[in-house]
Amino acid sequence: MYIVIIGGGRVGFSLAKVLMNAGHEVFVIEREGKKVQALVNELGNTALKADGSEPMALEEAGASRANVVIATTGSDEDNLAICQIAQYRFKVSRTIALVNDPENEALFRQNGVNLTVSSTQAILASIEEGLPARAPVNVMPVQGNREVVGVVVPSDAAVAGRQLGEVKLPEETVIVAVIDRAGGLKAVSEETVLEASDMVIALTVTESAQAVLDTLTSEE
Amino acid sequence: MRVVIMGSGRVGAQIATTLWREGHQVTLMDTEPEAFLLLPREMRQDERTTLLGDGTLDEDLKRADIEEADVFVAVSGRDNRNALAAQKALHHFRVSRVVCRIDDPLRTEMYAKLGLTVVSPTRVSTGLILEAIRA
Repeated sequence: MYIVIIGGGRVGFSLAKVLMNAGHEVFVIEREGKKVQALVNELGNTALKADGSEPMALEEAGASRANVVIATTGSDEDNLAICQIAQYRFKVSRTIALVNDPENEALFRQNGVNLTVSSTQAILASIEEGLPARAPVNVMPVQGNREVVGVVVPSDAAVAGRQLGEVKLPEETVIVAVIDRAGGLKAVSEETVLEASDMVIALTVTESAQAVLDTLTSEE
Repeated sequence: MRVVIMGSGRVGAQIATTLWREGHQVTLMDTEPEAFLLLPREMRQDERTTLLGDGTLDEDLKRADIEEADVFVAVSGRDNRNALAAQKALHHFRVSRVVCRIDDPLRTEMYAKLGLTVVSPTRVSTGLILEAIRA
């Protein structure tokens, strides 16, 4: 897929990296020169220094052939404008906006934004196609050396079909949510049964992120 | 009429002053207190006419009594802010007449299609200047 991301801050940058690693063609529009430089250094020549809500900038980035446009700037007015321009001017079939102020969510959805999210995680889930099944999705760093990770349970995983209470997770790890393959939220308890393709969202310490992934994906 | 105006630049201040002199109830919003210096002194002394706040926020729009307004005008210097505030006023607060300033001529049509009454100062002044050149 061709994905244009507007805003190369923390969210935009890590999204670009994950999506690129998953084999997608990614282009980032960022207003600040320093951030553009950081993107170019790390990801190659795939960033443009411009105001992403300028139709000309979007055109330059090839918005008209983009499958997805993701607006991740820190300002809601810019994210709304970007998605509306992408949707109505460039006929982009899927627009995703980061909503910084939750009160704006309904307005966004009713006016040209296909999907609104308030964390990187949900954006990733919506573009699940093509993501490597076993990659831990590094969702977001949290205070105190912690991070929230998302892991999709593979069909051959030993934990598939087991109850959460039976799964031995590393210390300081809490299952925050389990999302089934249809996008529904499962109630989290000891009795929750994990199934293949469930997305498990866990809060853990950085050192244990890999262990969480291994536990949830290994075949034995 | 009860009119809420976002953006006390030259355009916003001029519209506010004119409507206020005609006897309408005007609330002019801006995030910078010094922006109101563009208003005539006697208008500034009428406390109800100015409101320090952000017209893209529900809370501040409510403080401006947006729910009672007949007209909302978004004329700050930033297109995206104007568009967000105007769409809020129209869809969320159901203001019956919403006018939105969009400087970028490439975006005016799109916002018009989305139901806003759009005025593009760039388009208007470019037209007038070209007319003056050709006269």
